[in-house]
Amino acid sequence: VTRPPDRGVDRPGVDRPGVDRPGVDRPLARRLAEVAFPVLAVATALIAPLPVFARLPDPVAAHWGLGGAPDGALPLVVDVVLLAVVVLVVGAGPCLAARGAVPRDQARVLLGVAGGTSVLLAGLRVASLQANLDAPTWDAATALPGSTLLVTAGVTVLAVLVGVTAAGDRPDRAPALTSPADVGVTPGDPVVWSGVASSRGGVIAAMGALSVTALSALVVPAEGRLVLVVAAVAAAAVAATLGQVRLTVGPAGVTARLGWFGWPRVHVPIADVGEVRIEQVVPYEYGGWGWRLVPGVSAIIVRRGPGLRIARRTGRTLVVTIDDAGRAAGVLEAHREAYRATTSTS
Amino acid sequence: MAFLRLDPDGGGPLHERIAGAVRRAVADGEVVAGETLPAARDLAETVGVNVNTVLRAYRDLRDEGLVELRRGRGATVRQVAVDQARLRQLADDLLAEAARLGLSRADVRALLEARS
Repeated sequence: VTRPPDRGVDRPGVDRPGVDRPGVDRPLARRLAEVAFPVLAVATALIAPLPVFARLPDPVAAHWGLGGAPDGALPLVVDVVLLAVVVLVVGAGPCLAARGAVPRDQARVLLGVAGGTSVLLAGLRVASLQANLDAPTWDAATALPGSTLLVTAGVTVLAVLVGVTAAGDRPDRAPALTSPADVGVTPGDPVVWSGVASSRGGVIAAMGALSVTALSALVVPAEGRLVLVVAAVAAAAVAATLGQVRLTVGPAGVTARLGWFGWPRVHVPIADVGEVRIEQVVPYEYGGWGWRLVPGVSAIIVRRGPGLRIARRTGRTLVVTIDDAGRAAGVLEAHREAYRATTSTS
Repeated sequence: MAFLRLDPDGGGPLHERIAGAVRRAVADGEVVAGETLPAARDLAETVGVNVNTVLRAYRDLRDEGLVELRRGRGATVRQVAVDQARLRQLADDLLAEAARLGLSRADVRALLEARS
């Protein structure tokens, strides 16, 4: 009779088939399908003006009235660069955000918006080039060609559907509920817990702002366009920051980072950790979402629901919304007790 | 969510203890495929080690095919690693059961051969 091999010695990761096949986690076709429309749209918007650049008037017609006649113009270079930048932001931004560990429903929103807005803009880019082609001055430009607009509308719907569908094979995240007493960590165990809380509202707000960016790049008459585009992109960045918070708890303290960019972040050393509790966070009690500073409390809030409340020895209190706050609290409490034990004996 | 147990004995270099904790968490099903490990800087801060120690552990894990490392995205656990861990667990269970029934390795091998 032979003894089963010691699993501690038998390290996973050695001599395993599949190691040399990158991207086996999710099928490559799905990964490509997710970003196919945004990539094509960005490429179209960047490349389409180049071959016909010399045949466009300067300034170029950039806004059309409801009757179909052009009623606004922009310097040619501004028009080309502005649209290229906006397509790049609305197409690539959400795709990059969706590469992170976002829950499935949020990835669907991100990739649907990326595909829809970038394809819509790229189509309108092509249509406005067609209308301006070979016009001696901008006010001689024709109406936007209906066939191009029709194709654009169809492909836009298709791009949204493909983005939403292709994102559906991501792992989803189910918030767990644990009480601090059930964690099973004894003081002195060198354990690390790491978790997140994410907000559907933050993602939707960010994507809403990006959609405003896309539309204002074409719909708003020339003068206000740059201002609106810059403002809407800034709003999207702020809203994106509120999409997620990640918390790490270890023997040396606790660190929280906000948003997909990992900034801003806050660290509380274990020596500074006082009482640890869980609470049901209600955003309006802290004045809303995001990084809130109210007297005596700093709060990182991305949603309503379970959160961790850490009384700091400095007198301030840190509140962080986090899924499975009970487990986070149990682990932090164990580390705090271990730290107190070592400092009181030495 | 990721739950890592570092080797409490303090044996071996620090980066090896961190990598070992991730390997164990995968083998025990504590982390699922697609799970993002803590950012290197956060883990370093909360464990009380240098960030380069954590980065070295993550690079070792990447070289083993356990995690994917991408800039701006951090370290994510790969599906293939989780599948392999589960297969190993099943193999261990099979051998343990065979041992309990008094079967030799040759008997188990014959059993497997008979159904291939």
